[in-house]
Amino acid sequence: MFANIVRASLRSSLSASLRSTTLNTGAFRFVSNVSKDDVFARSIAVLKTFELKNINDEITSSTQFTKDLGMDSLDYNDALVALEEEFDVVFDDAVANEITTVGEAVDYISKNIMPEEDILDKEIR
Amino acid sequence: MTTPTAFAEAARFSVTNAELRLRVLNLYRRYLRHSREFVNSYDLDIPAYQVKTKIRQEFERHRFVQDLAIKNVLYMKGQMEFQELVNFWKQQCHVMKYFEDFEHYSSVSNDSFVQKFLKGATQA
Repeated sequence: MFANIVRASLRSSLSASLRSTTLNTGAFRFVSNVSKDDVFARSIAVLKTFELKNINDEITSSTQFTKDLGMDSLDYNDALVALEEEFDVVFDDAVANEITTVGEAVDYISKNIMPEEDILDKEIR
Repeated sequence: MTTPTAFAEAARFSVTNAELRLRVLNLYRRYLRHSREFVNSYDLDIPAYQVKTKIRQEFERHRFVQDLAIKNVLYMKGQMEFQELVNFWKQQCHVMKYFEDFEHYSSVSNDSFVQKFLKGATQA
């Protein structure tokens, strides 16, 4: 439960940065300007809500989910879905099974992240 | 309107453990992604994180199954369950059966046919 609260507060505090989007009129689509550092910081905050093996170790982009964080395959997928909910992205099945480090996950998220749109109900999404 | 084939998957026998493992993990992720949707559509008085925990428990139950043929069947049943849940082919009581209290379950007298029927017991 606390994990959800932390995620919700994170979302609200950082949504300001998400909203500052630029409109690419040529392609009719919004381009997110969330920096990779932002994504990385939020990812770490999400991962910290899990029970990790070495809770005091710093999480870097080369940190491995299974080896360094002590996750098994289901824990790791829990974490991926938590990241999906935080950033509103969907990990492709082929990609999700290949990702081993936090850095790879952050790369995928920052490539695929879409800005929040206020018209859409978050519950439905 | 429901599309009968939505979220359907053709039954396929995985001949290697590695392949089946990936399919199971994909299914697990699909379940988790829809956990909030389950709460909403079935009007569950349960937070989504608890539904996620229950999904995890159901997967953990079969963690140490060794037989590949059995694992294939379990995967197929899991996939069918997912399809039924996500397409809203069930009702609230069918979902709440997963959250039934163990102690209450065993203390119900189960000697008559009707009681067993109401409990939803699958075995005599």
